[in-house]
Amino acid sequence: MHRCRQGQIRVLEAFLAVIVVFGALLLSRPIYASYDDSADQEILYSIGMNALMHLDQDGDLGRLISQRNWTEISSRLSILLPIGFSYNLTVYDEELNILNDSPIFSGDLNAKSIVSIQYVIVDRESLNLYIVRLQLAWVK
Amino acid sequence: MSASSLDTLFAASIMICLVLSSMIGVFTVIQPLLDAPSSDWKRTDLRLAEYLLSDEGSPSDWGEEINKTLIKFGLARRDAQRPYVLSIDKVTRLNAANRDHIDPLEAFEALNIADKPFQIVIRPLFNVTVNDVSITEGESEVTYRFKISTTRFNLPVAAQIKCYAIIGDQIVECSSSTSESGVGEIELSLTKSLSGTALLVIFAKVEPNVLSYTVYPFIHNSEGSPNEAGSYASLSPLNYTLRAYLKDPSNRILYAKVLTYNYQFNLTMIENASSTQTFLVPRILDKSVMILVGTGLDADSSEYFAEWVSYPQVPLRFGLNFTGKHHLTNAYSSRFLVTINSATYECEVIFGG
Repeated sequence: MHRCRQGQIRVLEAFLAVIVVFGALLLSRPIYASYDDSADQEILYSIGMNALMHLDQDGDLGRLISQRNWTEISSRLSILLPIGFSYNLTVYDEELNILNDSPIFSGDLNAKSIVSIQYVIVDRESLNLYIVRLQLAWVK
Repeated sequence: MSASSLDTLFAASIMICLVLSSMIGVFTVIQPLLDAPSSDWKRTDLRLAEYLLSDEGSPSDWGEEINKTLIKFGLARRDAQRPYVLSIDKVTRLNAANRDHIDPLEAFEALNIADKPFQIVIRPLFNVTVNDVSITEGESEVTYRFKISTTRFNLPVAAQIKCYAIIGDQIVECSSSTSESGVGEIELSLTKSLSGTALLVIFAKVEPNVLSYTVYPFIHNSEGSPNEAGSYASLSPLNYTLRAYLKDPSNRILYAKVLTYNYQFNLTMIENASSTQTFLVPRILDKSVMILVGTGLDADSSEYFAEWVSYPQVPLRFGLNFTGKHHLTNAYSSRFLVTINSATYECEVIFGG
């Protein structure tokens, strides 16, 4: 009976050893190395700037801001940005007062990597200057 | 040997086997991730992709001039005022369906970077699908109702719709829109004096200049099914010229048209050889993809056939296929919005390690 218990204890010891080995493996840094991506910000910036440039094609963005057409800006931005991104767009005048009275956003910006892109535009008709700030993140 | 020693030996052997097999399993799974590109590598690939879409290559007119040897690979239009404005002909030559397409190996060599395989995918930002709903036969014409859906990754998109139905020399057009749920309906009538394959060409537009299209062949005033694409002629556009390579010299293209979101024109034939026909494509300033349609009479059945091609020939996929897990984890994909013929498309550039 005593010997049988000794065998059981050793099996338990072996199990503990396995847990220790696996714990060490799982917590080791190499597994997470590929997710530690410092280029994320640059990629997000490239995507955001690309979308803003297309949004401003033919001076459309300046015209829409002058018309205070925030819904149209939001729907255009949603089609230009890839699926899986959340954003928040804020429009300022030249004295940095916020112009958009309703938020232009999609999704939650509570992510690891968020970029803020500043874009300066002028409405071709009224010649008003606007500063657009696009905050962009991957959806968690 | 005592029973407890045997017990311990047995348990230890099982544990060692378990640990070893688990370690092999874990490392097999994570090995591609460990080999994945570093941040610097991703940054370099992003810059390379930007360069590829912003540079016009060498010679700068390699898209239009098929006889010139490609020295440096770049897709930008020659006189582009903004970045990511691509040449309609350079893009068209990436499509393997075009007679004058370039070989991916030629493009790899012209990129002038050793061991840098890549793939380029150009597609519309959203999709258009069409289903026929009902057919009503009148005395002199047949009325068709179609259901149109516009979606992006299965999410609905509200779009403006322009449709053309073509059979022989007859063309009927109508405008509509899809609702916020991405669904709309159109109704078109075609005369009963013509029969054979008809084409329904649908353009869908979302501001700012985001265009998508679909072409739906259907049989009109006849039995059977519409002719398969390429069964009478293969159409190949380049340098604002459409070449039709006929499968049978007796079945010739009689009417050729160009359709865009806002306009439609007849094409002028400039060459009529026994196995090829050549048409001039006008330089339309409409912010739209062009759909080039050729129709003719089947010599045997006396029914109309229809062939079509888009110009630029998008969607397209060019280059290496990244399929294996090592290829996929070593590949880095960059996504851009590009402008071709003033319309916006999505371009994905994937570089391998």
